[in-house]
Amino acid sequence: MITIDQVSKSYGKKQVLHNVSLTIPEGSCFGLVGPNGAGKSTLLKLITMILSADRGEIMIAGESTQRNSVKIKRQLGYVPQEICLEETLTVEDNLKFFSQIYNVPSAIHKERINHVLKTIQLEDRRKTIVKQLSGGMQRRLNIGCTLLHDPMLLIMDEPTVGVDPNSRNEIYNVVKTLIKSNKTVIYSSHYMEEIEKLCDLVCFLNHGEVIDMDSPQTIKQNNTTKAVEVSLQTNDLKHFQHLGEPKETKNGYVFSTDDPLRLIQQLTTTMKEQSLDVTHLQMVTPSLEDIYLQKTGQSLSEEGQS
Amino acid sequence: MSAHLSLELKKMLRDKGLVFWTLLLPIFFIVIFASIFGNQSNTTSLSLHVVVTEPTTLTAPFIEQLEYIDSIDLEQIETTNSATELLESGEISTLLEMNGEQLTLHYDDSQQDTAGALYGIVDNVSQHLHLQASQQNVSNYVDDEATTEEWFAAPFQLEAVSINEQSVDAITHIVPGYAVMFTFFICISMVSSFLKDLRQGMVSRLATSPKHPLHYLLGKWLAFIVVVMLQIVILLGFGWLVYDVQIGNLIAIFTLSLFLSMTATAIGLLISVAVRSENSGIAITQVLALGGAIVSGLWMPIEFMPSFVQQASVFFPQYWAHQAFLDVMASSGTILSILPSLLILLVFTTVCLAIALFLYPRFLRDAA
Repeated sequence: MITIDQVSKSYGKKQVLHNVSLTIPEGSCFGLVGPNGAGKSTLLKLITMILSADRGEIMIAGESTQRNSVKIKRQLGYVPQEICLEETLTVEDNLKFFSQIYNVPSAIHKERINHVLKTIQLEDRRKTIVKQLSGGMQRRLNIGCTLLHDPMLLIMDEPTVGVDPNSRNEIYNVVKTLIKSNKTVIYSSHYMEEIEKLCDLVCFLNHGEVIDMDSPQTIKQNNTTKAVEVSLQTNDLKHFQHLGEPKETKNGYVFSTDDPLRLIQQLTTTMKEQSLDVTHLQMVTPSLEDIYLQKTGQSLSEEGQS
Repeated sequence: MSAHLSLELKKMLRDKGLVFWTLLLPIFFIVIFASIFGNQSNTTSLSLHVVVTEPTTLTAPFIEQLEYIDSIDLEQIETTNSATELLESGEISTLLEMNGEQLTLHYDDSQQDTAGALYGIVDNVSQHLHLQASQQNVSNYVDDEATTEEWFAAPFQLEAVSINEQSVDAITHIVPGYAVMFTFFICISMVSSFLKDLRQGMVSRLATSPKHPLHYLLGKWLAFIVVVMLQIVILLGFGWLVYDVQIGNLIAIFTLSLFLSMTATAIGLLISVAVRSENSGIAITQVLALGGAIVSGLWMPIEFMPSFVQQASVFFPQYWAHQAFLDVMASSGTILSILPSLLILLVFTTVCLAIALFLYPRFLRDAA
């Protein structure tokens, strides 16, 4: 279990994290979400001990990161946002180097390298020079280099940034395999769909503060403002003024309500009375991204594309 | 540490830029400069043109005496041009005009040193002729040749003895000179390698591993020491194979190469952790490598330098390394004779390493 207690961090006068407190259960996949500058990477660097907190304490498996860093580092694997590989060397050379860095005993390092190559689906690329691999393959190798010592805690900082959808799916599959093997995974991303697919718990981070944290389902349940989307053959909305101010979408108009069934009834009655034709009518459930936008006023997807 | 050492060596084997800077460029320089200076003998000839405007009975014996002197390359010319015209045309740089008993040495101002030496020689020959004539007159007068010879015997006997067992030519100076100069170009590769690791996040990634951060620094340092050692061995080996340069005492040469490798790479380590950009690193290295080469007498013998340059040279590790190489290769020096140079190189290494270690935490903070 990872406990982050009242952690703050500043760069000069700029406060990046402010009294962040979190608990991450063992064996869970924990999603960290926020736009650029939210403090995600700084929080991950504090957990990985690349940085030290100004205030507060981080405990991993009951050990303090400040007092027992070497012991914790033996159980920790960090996948940085950048592709940190020796691009002029082969896939195998890179894996050998990291197996030495993580003190993998020489008696089992070949076995571990084979296992990792299988996990990241690069068995047939063992002798390939890294710079000849595709971006997606390099990302998978970037993950593979942290798996050699079989860490219990994996920290991934935007492992799919800048890759095409196909490669992203391949990386999902690798991460899913790791989650199934009971490792604790901390996964940071701009892409909410990744978080929804992979994570048991999600933490929304904005301007260095935790603004919500729970399972994706619970966040949706707690934050859903129900709505009804309707598409009409006319743009004349004067007949619906008594139902509230609708929001225009690409499919038609969305009316927010606390009682969607009653709103649907009102809509159908009005359409019947006014002889209006409707082409589409459905209840709408907002996505996690909509909820994030609602809570922070900032869109994740725009940040993610930048 | 061995992980970093083996990784760096594998990377360097594939690094064409490193092969160019450490081996191809220095070999190219050695070949070029050996072609230019390699055919020159150690005894420098002084060029002297002689014009006789009014001969005397002693003119011919005088010129004959001058021609006997090995260090003078004498050419007698006939011309109607004035000495000034001849010198200004650039065709000649010194001219001895023999007008009856009057000898005038004309010279170009840029050849003051040569003119000074020639003046001494001409004056000496003139004195010698005067002595010969006096001895002959006295001998005729006393009619005792043995006594006369005793009277006119020189008070001192001068002998020139070379301290070098092997003959030292320009190439013996060029090969170690360029070997020393190019060892310092390793700093460029070191800066490039460290800053690349910093930019790509490798340094911060390694900070999450259980290894102490010093393993990274020292592992890389060791790898570069190995490369510079190989560089020196290959360059000296090239000199030995192609130009028959004497290597001298192998233990002394090996120890000196090791100490020089440590010094050059310790300076590289210091620059790597101190600078924030590759361009700054390259600029500092160029100033250090080229400036140090000039001041330390790697391009031309230090004796030819002005005295302030000679005094400044002792502050450069290149000077001590080069002098020690010349000591072993040209004067049959041993490890004992180069001990002061080794100690000074060790001091340079220790100081640079200490500053690099002091700055290393800041380098690690930049990585985060």
